[in-house]
Amino acid sequence: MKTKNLRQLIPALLISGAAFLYACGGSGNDASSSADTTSNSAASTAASVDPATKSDSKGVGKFTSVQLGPIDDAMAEKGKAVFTAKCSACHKATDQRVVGPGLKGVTQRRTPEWIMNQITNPAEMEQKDPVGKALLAKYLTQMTFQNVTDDETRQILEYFRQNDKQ
Amino acid sequence: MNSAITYYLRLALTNFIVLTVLGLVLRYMHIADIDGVNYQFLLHAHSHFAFAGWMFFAIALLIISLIDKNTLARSFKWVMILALISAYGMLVSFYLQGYKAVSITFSTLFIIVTYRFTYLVFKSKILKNGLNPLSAGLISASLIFLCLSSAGPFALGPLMALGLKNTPWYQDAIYIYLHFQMNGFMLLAGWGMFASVWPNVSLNKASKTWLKLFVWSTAALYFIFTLWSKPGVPFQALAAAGAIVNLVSWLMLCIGCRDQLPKCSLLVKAALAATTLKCIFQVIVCIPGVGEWVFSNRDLIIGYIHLLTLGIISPLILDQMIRRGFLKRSLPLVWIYIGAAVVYVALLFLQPFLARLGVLIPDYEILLFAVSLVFLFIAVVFFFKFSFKR
Repeated sequence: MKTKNLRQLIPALLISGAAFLYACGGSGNDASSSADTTSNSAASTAASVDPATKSDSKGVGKFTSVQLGPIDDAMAEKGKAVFTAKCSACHKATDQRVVGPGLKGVTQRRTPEWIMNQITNPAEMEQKDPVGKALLAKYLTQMTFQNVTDDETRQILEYFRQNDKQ
Repeated sequence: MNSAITYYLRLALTNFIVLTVLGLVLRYMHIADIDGVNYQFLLHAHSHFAFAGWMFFAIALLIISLIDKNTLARSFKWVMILALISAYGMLVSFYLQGYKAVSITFSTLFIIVTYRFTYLVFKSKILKNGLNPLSAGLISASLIFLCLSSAGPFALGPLMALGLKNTPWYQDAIYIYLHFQMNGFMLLAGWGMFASVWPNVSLNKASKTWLKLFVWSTAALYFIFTLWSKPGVPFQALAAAGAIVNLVSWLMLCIGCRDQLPKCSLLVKAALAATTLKCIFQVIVCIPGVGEWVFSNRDLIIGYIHLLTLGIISPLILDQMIRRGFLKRSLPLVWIYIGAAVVYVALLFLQPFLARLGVLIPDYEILLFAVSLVFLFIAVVFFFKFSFKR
């Protein structure tokens, strides 16, 4: 009885060993950044972008020029409410990542246009914008549009500015 | 009572405690910062450990004890030991390095364990001779889905090699695993074990048809999990057909068993309600505009998963443990469990709706954390106060 079971176990171990070797190969490719897989599309620069560093990209989307004045606290307050309701399942306003990156300092790393485009147009951003692609490769979760209006998007930006000033 | 099975069931309860701790830490990370803990790695550890260490481990033991109450055969003992190794292996490796070589190895080991378990159960003939046809039908379908679920992870390697990692195909392959594990294996096995306690259920012709439709529509429900990428009308139609047939056949099966159901325990009644809600939600999600909103909403997805796991599968497991004398009955604890599950799932479902109206549930994340704490309390009390020692 015992030897019979052992005999049955050995193929199982062999298969898992083979799967292990195969998986090693697979994840090796992955480790070198999954941005590699996007290199088929034209002009991929994602592999060279570190999402933690500053970028001047304005991103892809309807916001091409955002004028900033002094921080409007009332507007930031509204933005905080929208953020809590629609973004906080995945993002924190500290530097800690949860599902997505922590957003402390985001206004220093990114342009206002990029931030507003990422909020309103995340799918296209993560396919076309170099920073967006690098973010998808790093966090492995596609961000989704949360049905925020343009006004609400601007309010969220104001909240980020206020959050970064503190 | 068999001491080996009791011993392993206590291990299952230990794993339940570990699982609630993982959930608690994840919830804590939403309200406070923990340096050095990667949320996503911990999330993977939580979900993989839940599948292998709690749900599969407990369900497999309960099915084994249907076959033979008195001895744990050596072949099954190996299944349990290897399942345990893979569960803890995945827990540690996913936590430390995410989806990489070591965690993939333990995941693969887990898949092989599920194959072996399925083979041993089918070989035992219990599905033909020892169980009533309703229970045997549900459990054999659940085991077939258990094996089918592995098609998802095995497709990931080839998809990656073909450069399809950033396409919907890759995500959809992961959903094969999730769907066939939870809706396929766990849910059907849970209800199959529940039905096994009725000694002489003979299915009339109509019930047989509804059972078949329920099982087949469970497979078709997979198409719901592909709708997020807007794959087109055929997929939408298949998903909607699956969801509607699933709901109708579920209700018809319930009506067919209506003489038995009022006598069920509280945990089973909760699972009945949760399964009905789940079937209704699946139909609603197939309405195009609604679906788009739901799929973009993380809380609703997490809510759906926990409606399944906390609302249906775990209650059915706990009910079986109580009914078969592995756990003592404690009505207050069961009420606390159901209350916690209702609040947890309700919070996750309500906040996205209220957010549309601009309303925030005050201290939302803290409330979710507090309920997670209740689950830890329940798991610990079940283990120390209500499980029988060897």
